Amino acid sequence: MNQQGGKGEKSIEYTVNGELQTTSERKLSVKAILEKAGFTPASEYDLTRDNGDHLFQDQDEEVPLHKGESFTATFRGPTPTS
Amino acid sequence: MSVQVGVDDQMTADGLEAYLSGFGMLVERENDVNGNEYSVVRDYRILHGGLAGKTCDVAIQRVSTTPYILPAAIHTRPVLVAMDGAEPLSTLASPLGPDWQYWSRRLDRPPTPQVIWTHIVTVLNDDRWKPA
Repeated sequence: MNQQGGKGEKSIEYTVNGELQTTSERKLSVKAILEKAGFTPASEYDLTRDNGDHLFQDQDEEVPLHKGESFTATFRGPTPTS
Repeated sequence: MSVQVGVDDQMTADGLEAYLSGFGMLVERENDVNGNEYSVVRDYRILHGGLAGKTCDVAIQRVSTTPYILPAAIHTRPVLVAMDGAEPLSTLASPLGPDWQYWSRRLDRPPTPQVIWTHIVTVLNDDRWKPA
């Protein structure tokens, strides 16, 4: 049974900004989490793990995924006033 | 050739509501004092930044322009931060009512439902804000 990395037998559901995502991987890089959720180019976004309020600093970091986990993606660029 | 920034001819106010409802957000409608209609996301919980732990309603004015252009403001209830018309806050009273706050914010990217929602999430989860 594969517990760490690679493909497992069961899919894992998690959310990014509330949108449900599914993967068969047990770990994904920060960049992959963003890209799979449609946040491209990933370099324009930050990803924070909601549990523990952890902002990932390295988009190549491998993130262990847990069922029901949630992430927040925020835009790195400006949100200018009008 | 000119490039219009912030417009998308596939995007609609209904599409934004459907997107948000699709992942479990409760979206309702409210009108401001001028009769303008808004899509209101109920009970959004801010998880990060200076307002972490706060829960608010978030409103976006509905528009029917083609192509769609996102109005340059989001509205929150309750008032979350100081009313300060100067940057970086640029917040004012909202025409939705005294318990609402107007955040002057412009989206400079082509508006898809995900881009708009991420824009809102980015504004509200900012480290710079201090609760009112």
